[in-house]
Amino acid sequence: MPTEYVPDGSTEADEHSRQSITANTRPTERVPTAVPDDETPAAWCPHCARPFATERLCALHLGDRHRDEWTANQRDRYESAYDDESNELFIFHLKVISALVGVFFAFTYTYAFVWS
Amino acid sequence: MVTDRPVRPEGTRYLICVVLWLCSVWLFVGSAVAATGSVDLSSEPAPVPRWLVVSTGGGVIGASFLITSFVTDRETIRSVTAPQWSVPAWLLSPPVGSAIRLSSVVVLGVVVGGTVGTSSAISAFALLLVWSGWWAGYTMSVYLVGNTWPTLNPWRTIASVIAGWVSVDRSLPNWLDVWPSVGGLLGLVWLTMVTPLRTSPRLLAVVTVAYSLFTVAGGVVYGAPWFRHVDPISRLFRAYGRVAPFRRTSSGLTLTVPGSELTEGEARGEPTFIIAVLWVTTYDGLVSTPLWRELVETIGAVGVPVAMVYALGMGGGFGAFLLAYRTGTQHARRIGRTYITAQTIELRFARSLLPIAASYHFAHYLGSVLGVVALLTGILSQLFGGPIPVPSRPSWFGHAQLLSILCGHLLAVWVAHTTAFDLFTGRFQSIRSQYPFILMMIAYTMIGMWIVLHPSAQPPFVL
Ligand SMILES: [Zn+2]
Repeated sequence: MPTEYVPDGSTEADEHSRQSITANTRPTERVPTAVPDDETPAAWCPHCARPFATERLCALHLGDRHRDEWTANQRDRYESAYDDESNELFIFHLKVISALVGVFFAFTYTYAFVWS
Repeated sequence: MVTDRPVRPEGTRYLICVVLWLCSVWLFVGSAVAATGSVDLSSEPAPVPRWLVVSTGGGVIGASFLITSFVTDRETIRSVTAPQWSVPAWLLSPPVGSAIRLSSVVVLGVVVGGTVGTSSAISAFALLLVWSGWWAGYTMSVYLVGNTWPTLNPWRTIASVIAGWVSVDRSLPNWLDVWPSVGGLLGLVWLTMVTPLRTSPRLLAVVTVAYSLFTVAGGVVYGAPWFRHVDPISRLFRAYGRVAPFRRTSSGLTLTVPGSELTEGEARGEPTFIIAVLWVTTYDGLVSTPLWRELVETIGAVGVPVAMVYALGMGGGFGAFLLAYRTGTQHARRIGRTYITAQTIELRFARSLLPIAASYHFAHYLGSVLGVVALLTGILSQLFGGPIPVPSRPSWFGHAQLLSILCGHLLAVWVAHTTAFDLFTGRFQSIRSQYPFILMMIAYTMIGMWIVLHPSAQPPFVL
């Protein structure tokens, strides 16, 4: 949003950018990155040269940010990375459900114990 | 519109998840019924011990994070905070703005005049206007409705009028960074604690005049950037205003979903200032707990001046909060395995703490605002010949306090979720990198609830 003079004398408006919420993909955006000295990135994004700690993160990034410019090969990499991640997420969500059940039970019985 | 990769053969998986969800809900409801069934309902239920309320607060935050972790579709997450509506522009017409600005300067004059004056009734009214009306009530309107301070700020109006006559146009030195505003905020709140600023009209007049001279001078020399970066009060309201649904844009006024502006970040030390806001709201409550009283008395017995204890507590607590936040950011970076700089992560997650600070302010000052409302209705009823009602705290008071704290934290959890999915790559990294922030929020909820649940004693004054 360009900085415009706001009639009431304040310029508060210029910094209210809602880009990240309204824009779907931001291929031109450069997120500042820094690689620790004792690490070597496993992959760099072919479009924006952003470093990644694993190949999979790089492939996922292609789908997050570069859908308009990716090659068929990159698309395949993204899809297989997405499926891998889905498998991991499924296991993770099973753990989350058990944690939630555990928390609910712990509190229910504590309250039952306190109130009786 | 491209969306995330569509779910292909995962129907069965989600069926399993749904079935497990239903089972757990059924188990939960069943056990709750069984538990309440074993309680003798004819007798008054025993009050819940404080430790249990506090840990329930932490548990609710943790559970809400676990539940949000099921929402992993970026499109869905964005759509929650995306809606916005514009508001008719005539509300912002120049005459209205000028009238508001003029009346705020008049109010400032009334406050200073009233506190200097000899009439005790008028000076009591001025005190009430400043502390319950402005510091408590107006601040609430800023985070519940919108930041009207750039227009209302009487010092800004005066400074802009003077700047029209004398033109001193300097730019703010960069080395100042965020520190003048942080120091100013901590200093002002410290002043309200160690001096009888809240009860002595004379002292309030002195401080107001000193602050006015300083602020108007700064505003004349440095212009708008002064109120944006240096003046602690303007900056405080700007931070709180980020939570509010209404906001000023270059095209007018916009109504948005509360919290939709919190996933962004602004350079120039915004995280540090937000941590300072969070700490002063906490400290404000902490000093009225019995624990603090004991601490002050113990240290005071050694011969350390009480004002010094307050200053050390203020600085030390702020340092501890800042350190905790920075450490959390480093952990988020490591756990999520991301190369995004710690500075960027710090910047983007800082505003998720603002709803927490706002809810905590609400819980802390609700009593004083209700007191003013009761007083005003009492005066009105007396004017019309009615009886003077006895002001008393409504029965829902404690619940409203705890509820506001919970709402603030729940909004914060969602904001952190949205920010993480916007900033990080993939779904798993976005979830895992939230762990440190959620742990901090759980810890903070428990501290905050513990403070609110304490009977608020008058903090030990120095005088
Ligand atoms: Zn890229």
